[in-house]
Amino acid sequence: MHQSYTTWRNYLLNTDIPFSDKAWTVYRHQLEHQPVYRRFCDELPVKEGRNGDHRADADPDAIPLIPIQTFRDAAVRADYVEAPQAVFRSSGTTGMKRSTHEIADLRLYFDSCYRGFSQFYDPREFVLLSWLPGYLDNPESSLVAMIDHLVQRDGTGQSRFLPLDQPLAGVDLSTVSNMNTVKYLNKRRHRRSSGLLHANGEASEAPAKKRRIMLFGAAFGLLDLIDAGAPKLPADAIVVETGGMKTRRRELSKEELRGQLAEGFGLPSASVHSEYGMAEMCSQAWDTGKGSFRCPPWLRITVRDPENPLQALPPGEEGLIGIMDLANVHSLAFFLTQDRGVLFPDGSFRVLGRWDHAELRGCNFLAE
Amino acid sequence: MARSPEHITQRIAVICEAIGAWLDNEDGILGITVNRTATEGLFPRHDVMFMLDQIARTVTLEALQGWADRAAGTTPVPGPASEMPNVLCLHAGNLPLVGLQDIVATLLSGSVYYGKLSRKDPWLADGLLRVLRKRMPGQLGGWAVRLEDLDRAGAERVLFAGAETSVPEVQRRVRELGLASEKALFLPRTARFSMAWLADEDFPADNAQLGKLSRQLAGAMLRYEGRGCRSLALVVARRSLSDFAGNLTDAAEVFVRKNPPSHFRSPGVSYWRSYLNSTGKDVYDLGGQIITDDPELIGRDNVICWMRGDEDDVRRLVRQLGPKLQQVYVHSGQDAPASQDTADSLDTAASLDTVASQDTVAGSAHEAGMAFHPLAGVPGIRLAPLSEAQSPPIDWQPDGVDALSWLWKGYSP
Repeated sequence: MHQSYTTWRNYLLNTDIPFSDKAWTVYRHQLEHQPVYRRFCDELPVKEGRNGDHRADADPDAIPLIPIQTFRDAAVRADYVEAPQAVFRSSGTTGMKRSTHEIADLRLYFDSCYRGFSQFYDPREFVLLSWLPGYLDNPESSLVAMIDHLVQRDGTGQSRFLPLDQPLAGVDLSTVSNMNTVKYLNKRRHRRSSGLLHANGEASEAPAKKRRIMLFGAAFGLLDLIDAGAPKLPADAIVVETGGMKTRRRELSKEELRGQLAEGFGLPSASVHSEYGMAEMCSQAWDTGKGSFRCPPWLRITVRDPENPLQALPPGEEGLIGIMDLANVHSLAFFLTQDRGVLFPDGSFRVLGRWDHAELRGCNFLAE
Repeated sequence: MARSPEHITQRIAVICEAIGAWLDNEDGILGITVNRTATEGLFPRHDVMFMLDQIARTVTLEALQGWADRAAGTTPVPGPASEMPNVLCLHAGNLPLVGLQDIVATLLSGSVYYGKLSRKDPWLADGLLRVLRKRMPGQLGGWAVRLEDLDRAGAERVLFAGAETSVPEVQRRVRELGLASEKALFLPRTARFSMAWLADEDFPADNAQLGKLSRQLAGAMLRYEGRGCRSLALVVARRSLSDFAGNLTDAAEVFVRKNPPSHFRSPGVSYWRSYLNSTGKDVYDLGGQIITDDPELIGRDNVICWMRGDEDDVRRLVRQLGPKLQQVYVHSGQDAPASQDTADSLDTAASLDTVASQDTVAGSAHEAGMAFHPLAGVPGIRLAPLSEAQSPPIDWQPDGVDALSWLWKGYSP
């Protein structure tokens, strides 16, 4: 019998429970309630350990990852989900079948996004300006839903989607933190720290902290913004790009992209950050300017051998990025992407573009 | 067609004589190297024998002369006194003697050959090069399995298999070791696999003819375990996979019985097979490979895709696949020039006489027939008969580039 959505939320986002405990629990749950995943595991030639009776401390890398195409080819909702609360679809070119991710518990999705974001940034420190021209055309974009939630959570009302016709018009980039923001922050601090009242009954005067700009957008859109003459951002601003170069421009390396964004917005390259997420994930990984992504505690990245995707590769070796997103408990938590990546010993990872499966065919000098 | 000059014709005669002597097992070299290759599990014996069969059929005086003449028609031929460059060939192969064309092209061009042999094929190529060196010592610079063991050739031309994007890395490695000069030109061989187009009329009503088509497809897919860039990995057909799967799996069973693969099925193939089954897709076993109608899996190792479509789909896929695609095969109704059914009965040195005395097929014998195909002349489409999939003429053009013309370009007549 599956647990209630609330129980799952509390359990999965509880950072005191080790990831491997939760991963095996979700794995067993998926074997029981996710028919496509169960069939996939049943079909695998290696049955040993597939029934989920692992020790809690066993390495979750032993969990099989199903191809990400499953989101395109099959209904991925768990058998107890009657109607999803939201449906996200991947962007896709004309004629291409898009992935569909049915979200059974929207609150789990939003909690995962917000609490994941909060692992790396203090939301109270930023005004989020979002520039997502291509994505706003897609009402089923998970990215738009995530950003919208982050915008809504900013009670100052300053975070927002930038209008398509005048992206940065009217934004006072030097002093985003106006008096309203300061008043709001102080009021909120006062509410939260009622025990810290002065003897005279007045709230302590917290210093009027200026909020930093976080400009969030798809890589191609941000470059277009620069080309259109976007102003330089304040020195303490950060830019967060979400990937998404294909179909718009030639693909740039991460370093090239970072360099162009930094130069275009007048920031040091360490102020250009990245987000790794997709319609198929309820959680996101973040690169806070260090050059590699880190995950919230309920998400883990594994890198798999393209010639044997059941085999995890050690840190340092390039392979296919595998996702263990426990917030996907009601859809598909363990799947293999088509992204090329490399894992580092500290658990962070880097995305190196798309894996070209044809590399394994034909002759290749470098592969020798 | 231009006639190549006399010094080229003389060179052709030497090369052909040397390859003939090698195939005749001169000094016992071929017998020994075939045995080592097979017993060390580098390639199955039947694949080696099949390749030797193809070499005997295609490396002939007529074929090499035709190649040289065609190249001479597009590129000025360097004169006998021209100082030709050192050429570095980086062989990397999933099939036996995969670098043969590069070796022949280098020698035919008059250049000096340096080669890094494939780790998977250290014996056969070494044997051939030793026989060639006896006859053309000035043109055989050196070869080794490890790059580090090669002489500092300072080559001006480098041929290698790999993606365009790998050129900088290859340049760095060979220049670091002094194997290529700073101004060396690099020719990457980028193709990874081939496709076939089957129109309605290619599916004959007659069972015997249908059986022949199935055998040709199975051979094109399964020979060399589907590893070469000429291996068939994608079929676009007017009929669905399920309509033709029975014929194809029957033909594959026969092929595999006669030409057992070195391994049953790779873990990657089992993985994709499990996925396709779990999502209710059409998937059938073809020896160690699988065939499916899921176009998303195009290009995956040991996974063959069958798409129901038309000529517009062929054009679209050719554009989409770009340099990864080698050839588009069309059904010509002819039999494959080699006898796949007898390859497994050949046994090293004793059978090499048989191999060497096979009838010869001129390199471009089928090319004229392709000119009238509706897809002929479409940019990016290189047509070839399905029957020639694994039996290409010696002058076939990987990625559409003629190696001989490329080597001649820039050297004075």
